[in-house]
Amino acid sequence: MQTAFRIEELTAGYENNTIFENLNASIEYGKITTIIGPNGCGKSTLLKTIGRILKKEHGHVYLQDQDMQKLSTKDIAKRLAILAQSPSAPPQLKVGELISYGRYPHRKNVNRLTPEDHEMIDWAMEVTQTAEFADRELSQLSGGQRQRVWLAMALAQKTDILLLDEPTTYLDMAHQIEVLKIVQKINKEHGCTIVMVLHEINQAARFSDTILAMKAGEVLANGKPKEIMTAAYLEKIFNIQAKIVDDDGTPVCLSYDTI
Amino acid sequence: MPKNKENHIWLKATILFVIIFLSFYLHVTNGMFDMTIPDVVKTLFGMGDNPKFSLVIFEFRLPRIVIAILVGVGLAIAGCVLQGITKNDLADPGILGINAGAGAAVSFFMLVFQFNASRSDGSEWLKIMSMPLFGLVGGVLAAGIIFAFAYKHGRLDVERLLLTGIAINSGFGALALYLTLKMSEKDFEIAALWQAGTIYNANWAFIVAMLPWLIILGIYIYRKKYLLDYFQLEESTIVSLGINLEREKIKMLLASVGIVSACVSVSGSIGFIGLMAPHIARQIVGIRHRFVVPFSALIGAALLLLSDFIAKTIFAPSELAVGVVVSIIGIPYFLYLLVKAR
Repeated sequence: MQTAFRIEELTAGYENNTIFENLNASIEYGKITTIIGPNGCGKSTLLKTIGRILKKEHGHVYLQDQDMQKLSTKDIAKRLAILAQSPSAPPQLKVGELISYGRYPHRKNVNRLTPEDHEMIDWAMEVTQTAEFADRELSQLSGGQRQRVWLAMALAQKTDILLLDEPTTYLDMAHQIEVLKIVQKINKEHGCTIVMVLHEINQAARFSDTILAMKAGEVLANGKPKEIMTAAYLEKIFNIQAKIVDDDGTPVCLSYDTI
Repeated sequence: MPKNKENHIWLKATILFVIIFLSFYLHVTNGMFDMTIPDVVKTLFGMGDNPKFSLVIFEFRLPRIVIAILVGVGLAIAGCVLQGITKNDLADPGILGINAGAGAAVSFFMLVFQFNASRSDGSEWLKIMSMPLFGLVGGVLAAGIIFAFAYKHGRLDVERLLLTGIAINSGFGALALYLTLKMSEKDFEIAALWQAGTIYNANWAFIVAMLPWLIILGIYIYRKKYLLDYFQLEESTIVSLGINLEREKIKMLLASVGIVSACVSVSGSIGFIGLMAPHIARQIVGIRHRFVVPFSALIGAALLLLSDFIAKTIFAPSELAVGVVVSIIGIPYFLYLLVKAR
């Protein structure tokens, strides 16, 4: 198996609050991996740490077998893009302008876009269906449209790996699925490795190749949705009693209750 | 559709140039004695036959005008950078204590070398040239202390930056006051006036001393203007794009500290220009710094030139410190921003 990330003895957290210690895991290249787990289990912290947004305390993260510590932040930006949980930008900013920011790591003259830059921006807008509002200001978009624009910006970065921190937050059901379908398309059609954090386990099961389950700063399980989405595991991870059914090969959590 | 603020850029720039030109005209023709336009034009182009006119224009009014423009440009650009980095529209070199640090260092310089800029006739070249350097040391020192306190867990905490800035500001202000109290009565008076922000004793030597700082660092900032656009995003996105956030912040801050120090060393501490100019510029041209930075510079120049004209003429023949005039305009503007921000 080719790895996108190999995580060794990783310790990270905020200020005086260590979230996880000596964590080991690996994430497969070319696949969609979703990190799930209860609130505060460290899933977002893990995503931010492997995306070098958060400084690790110690341990190593290998990006395709290269120690990330030895790579410059700009070189990393050519290889992985991160979409933060609730990214912000000035409301007056034009959509096209924001998407073009994604070209930053590839630009030599930052004050002028090359034909290649334009090509990538157009491609990102096409994949995310955002071209029609390229000239609008961010404040004029709905939540779902805005999230697609942010996704387009990350795509314009043209990286092999995309990290998404709860990309469906604050979206209604239809828009959640819309965003996840785009994510799936990016993976299937363009071979982009996806690592994301999701809250909704049914969405995780439907859209992921691998689920990485965390609890209290530890990796509890790492496997195919079918292996993880079992009553036994869900009880361990979330402390719930779940009823799982099979929907055309995809496990679905039909209902659940607290224990 | 909201109207596009980036339309009619050249028209807007032209209007600003006209305002600067009008202020220039008012400034150059008014003063201890008024001159007519033909007199001014003739003298400017070396065709005048009145030596008194050329003395007044070339030795008094013109250097003063040029300094007002340069200091206005410098403070406005520094304000742009500081507001961009702190993501706070109320940031201003004065509020951050950089002015005060540079001011204290220059007071120290005046005390130790028995040299008073405001009394100088421009003949002491070495001292004049080294004054911005002293200002820079003071400004960097103040900025260094602010950073030391604002830096936490490997990142620059903007709230702490602003709060320490305010503390450093009063600390260095007190130090400068103490230093000036050690001076002779005559020196004290002039130093106190200088600290309030004044350019009435401008001469060409000051301009030569500050110009390199302004040009080099101004160009540096203008070339990095795109960073200020990126700084409008939140930090995780900036890092994700491969921008070395902390390093770029520090480089930009140092560049603006350099500019402010050069300005303070020739004009004393003038507040509010760095606050108002970028803010007005954003109202006029939107949020992209390829326009905000140059427009701030123009607005800063216009504001300071007009203020200096008012300082010179309103109580003529006595003069008001231009810093006082700027504050009189600036404080209500600051309060207006505060009220609007709530």
